[in-house]
Amino acid sequence: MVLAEDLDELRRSALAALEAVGSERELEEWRVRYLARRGELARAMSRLGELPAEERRAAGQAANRAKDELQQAYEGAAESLRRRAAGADHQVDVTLPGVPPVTGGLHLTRQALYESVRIFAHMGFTVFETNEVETDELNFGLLNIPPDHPARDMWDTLYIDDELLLRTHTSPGQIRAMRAYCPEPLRVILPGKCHRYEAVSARAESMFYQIEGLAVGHGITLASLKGVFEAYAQQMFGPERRIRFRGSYFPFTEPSVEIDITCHCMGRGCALCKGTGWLEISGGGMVHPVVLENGGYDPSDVTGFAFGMGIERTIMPRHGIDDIRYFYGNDLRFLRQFA
Amino acid sequence: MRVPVSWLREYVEFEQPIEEVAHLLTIAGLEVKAIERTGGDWDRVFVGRVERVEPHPNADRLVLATVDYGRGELTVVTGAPNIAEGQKVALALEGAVLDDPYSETPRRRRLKAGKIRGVRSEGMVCSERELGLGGDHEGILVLDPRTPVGAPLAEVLGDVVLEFDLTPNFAYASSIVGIAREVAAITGGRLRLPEVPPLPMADPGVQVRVAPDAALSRYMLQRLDNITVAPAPAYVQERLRACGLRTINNVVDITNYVMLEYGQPLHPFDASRVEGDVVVRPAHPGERLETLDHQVREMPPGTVMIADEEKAIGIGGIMGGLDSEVSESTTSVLLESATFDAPRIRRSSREMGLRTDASARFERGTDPDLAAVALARAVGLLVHEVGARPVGGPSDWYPAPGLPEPVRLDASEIERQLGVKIPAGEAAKILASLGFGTSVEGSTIFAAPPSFRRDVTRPADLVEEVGRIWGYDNIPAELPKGELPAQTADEAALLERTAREWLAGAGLQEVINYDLTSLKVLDAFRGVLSSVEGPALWRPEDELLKVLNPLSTEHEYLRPALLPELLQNLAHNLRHDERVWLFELDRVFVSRGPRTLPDEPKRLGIVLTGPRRPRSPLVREEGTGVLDLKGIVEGLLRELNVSEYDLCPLEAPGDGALNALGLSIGGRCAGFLFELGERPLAAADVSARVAAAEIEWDAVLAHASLVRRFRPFSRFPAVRQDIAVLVPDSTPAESVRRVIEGSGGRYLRHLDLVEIYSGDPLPGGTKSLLYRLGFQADDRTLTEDEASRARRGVERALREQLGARIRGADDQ
Repeated sequence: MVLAEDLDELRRSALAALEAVGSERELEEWRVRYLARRGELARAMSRLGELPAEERRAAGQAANRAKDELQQAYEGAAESLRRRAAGADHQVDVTLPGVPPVTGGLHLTRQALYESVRIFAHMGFTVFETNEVETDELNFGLLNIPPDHPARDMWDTLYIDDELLLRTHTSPGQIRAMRAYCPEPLRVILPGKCHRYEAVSARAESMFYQIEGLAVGHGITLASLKGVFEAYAQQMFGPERRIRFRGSYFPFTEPSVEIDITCHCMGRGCALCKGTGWLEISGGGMVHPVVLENGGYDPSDVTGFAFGMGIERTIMPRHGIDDIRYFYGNDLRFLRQFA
Repeated sequence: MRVPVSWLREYVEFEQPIEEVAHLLTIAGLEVKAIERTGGDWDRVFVGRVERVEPHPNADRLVLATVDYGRGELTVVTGAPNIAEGQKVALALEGAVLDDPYSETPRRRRLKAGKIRGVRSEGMVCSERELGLGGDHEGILVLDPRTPVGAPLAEVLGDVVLEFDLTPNFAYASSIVGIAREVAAITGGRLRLPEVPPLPMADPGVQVRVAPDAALSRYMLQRLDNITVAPAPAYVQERLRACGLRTINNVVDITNYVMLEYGQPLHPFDASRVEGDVVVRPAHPGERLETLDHQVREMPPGTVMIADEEKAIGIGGIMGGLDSEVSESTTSVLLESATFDAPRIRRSSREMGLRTDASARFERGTDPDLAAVALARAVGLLVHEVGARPVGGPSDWYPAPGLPEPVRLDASEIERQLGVKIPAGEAAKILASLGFGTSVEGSTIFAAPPSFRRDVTRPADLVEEVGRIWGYDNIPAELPKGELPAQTADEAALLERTAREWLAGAGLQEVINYDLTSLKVLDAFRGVLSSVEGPALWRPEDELLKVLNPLSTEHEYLRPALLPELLQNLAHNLRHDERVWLFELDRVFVSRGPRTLPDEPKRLGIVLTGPRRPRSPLVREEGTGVLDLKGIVEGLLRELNVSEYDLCPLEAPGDGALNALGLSIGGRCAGFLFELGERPLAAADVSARVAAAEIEWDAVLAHASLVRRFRPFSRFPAVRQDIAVLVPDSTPAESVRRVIEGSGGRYLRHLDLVEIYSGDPLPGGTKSLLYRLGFQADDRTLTEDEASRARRGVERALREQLGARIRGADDQ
């Protein structure tokens, strides 16, 4: 049984040697040493003839098994060497900069508009767009601001001719929306560009976006304006925000209020809120009976609330933007920061 | 409006700290913009008495003043023309911090002792401006002679001033008395208005005639003799200054004092300059008057004039005439207190370009009953402080006296509007505190507005008064009750949003431009694609909507197209970016004639320039071209399910555009895709190649849909076959594609152009287009033979219809 033991020994040492093989050249050397025609396995097998006939058969079978096993091990090793080599070809310097994707984005104002519209949509408000060039009648007269009314000073106006102007606020949309919905109850959001004859500065633009909200129906109160606006402010600016109403004056609402929101400094007082802890965010109130009538509703039957706010000034603190002129300068260095 | 708290406290008692009162007023609608403390930084300023004034040895215009300030005497050098021995003055010692009177912007400086023309000045006698009290720097501030020498100035002149920013509805509260009344209502403090002696009951000392078409509701005039014009009493001067008014003389200052106190403007005429009766009438056409400010003005039609028998003496409610001005020689005045028609004053004042303290008050509306109170108050002060003697009683034209009608308010209306229950009794109490006469019957409140609240005519007006005093802080936040309106999905808005988001995803940045632009910007597109049917990219000036009162020529015309401003955006960004891909989806403006609302159709504008991908060493650099634009537009149309469209090359577009395509949707040209030509590029000073598109959005919307329909696809594999088509360079790829589609048979399901090649070894002037065809059946796997048969049919058609050669097949 010496040959059988030798074969086993050969098999084991060959497999062990194969483990250590690391290159094509070493693998070839291994093959020549063990598997080649004059290799160790062949030499061991050549001794089969020396065995007695009754042992020869079993030993031959064992020798063939060893040969198959080594052959398979060899092929496996060859395959894994090939894979390793291929892997080395695919090696990438992963510290290189990533390939930049092609990206665009929505204008910051648009994002804020869409965000606001989404929040108000959850409270049942739908978008209603109206003209930018308006009549004096819609922009002022039907909103309870007759010609030569002192309140006209509140809106410095750009005129096209003696009847047409660039809307100074989205409020004329109130009349248009009411006339479209009357006598049904309505809840609409009127977003859009507005224009003022105003010297442009870091705090003031001659063109800006306003979002106007209008609800008309039964059970619409100043308290519900507070509820709707607080829900909006908390979703837009954070659940910790609070709002407060301050008495104010708009000819088309009565009572009229300014809506303040707690400042980002959360009442600690900062330069932005001038130490008051509050930022003015919107103006609104209960729709004036004359305006409800102009919209076709019976003010003794329904009530309405309305509010309007400038989008840019509302979101500037959130993003730390200190100059409103960035918005419509359309400089990519500004726009891309928010894309 | 400025309200000195010391003055306010004379008329209302309150215990709350002034900060709290200011907050309560603000919440109630009377916004306190600032609480200002005057005198807070007058650390080293004292009341001094001028002991001696001696000439300066080296300067004619300067004097040496020796001032006693209680702790000793100082000598100061001053150029003040009004300094005199015996005056009480504000003496600043070395180290005092004062305003720089010569600086345009507010600036402070610390006072140092020093020599002026060789004489040492140890301090300074201050002007109003140096103390931050107002604009006057012509002379030094002269204090009340009773002021104690040596007192710190802060103790004498220092005060807290509330600076209000009042909305027009608070016209009735725009006075010390008006604010006092509000403070009393809000704080519950006691109101204590000044004692006003009655006007003399006698025949008028001057006759007044009012023309029937003069716009006013009351006119009062009182003659006063025995006037000696001199500086006003110190307390009057100090209060005027604290409120930001200039001091002039005792008569004018007292009328201004009463205006601040009550809100009723008054005007004194020098009686010696008035001939006969006073006439109130509309201005004659072209009538002129030289006003107090030495301007000769022409009166707009309808202006109310105050005149005598011969000439105008003042513009009613706006400004007096120069000739009848109260001067040092005046000994007798006619004192006017009137109620002019607010809209008329506003119109005249605007048309004249003259706004005064008086007109600003009249145009917001004044109370005719107040005219009498203010006149009586002013007469009382003139008698007491100036020694004036009334001549007869006042002339009083007041054809329609009367109080405003009472208004009925049910408590349920308060709840319907505010969403909180406020009992009728509580509401009535609030209204009473604001001066309303009230009574309550059950839940109904009857409120009679006081004469100064003629703005209150309906229940909603009362609800507002109750709400703001009750406190908006006390109103709860709740979501709306009642029925929810029918909800409609706004497909147009959704499609618009989908388009914007898709374009952003495709690598374009949205911009938002001004609607107003300049002719210069618009002119870059003059003539561009103007001869072709489609959206106008330019319109002549007379078709544009122009703003009458533009802020600047840069924002003067409403844009008729998007591309002009987009090109400006692109040019701007090319200064610091090389890849600029922008879009805008917004309105343009198309005039429909004067006094007619214009059309405001939306458009989609795109400009592209620079590398196709952001720069990277790993990406081959390729410039953006019109085909990128085409891909984007087609991708967008696919996203929006617009299938009925066509993109066709446009002929001879001129020097404004090249490589142009027209986009037809539903059979009408609704847009252009092109490369900007020489002219627009030169106008915008851009040297890069720019692809641009402008598309009528309504045409897209009309054929767009958010709903996609499923299209079945075959479950069996496709057989791919390639055809390399050799055609002349001039053959459009579209023609090749059409032939292949037309001849491929029913199994041709996929057709992709995978390679374009020209050059060696192809003959010059030809190109090879490699198409990959996919043949596929719905019910079985096609054999290679079937596919090859179909392919050969295609090859035949290409040879026959286009004279093409099929590479590989026809090469041998």
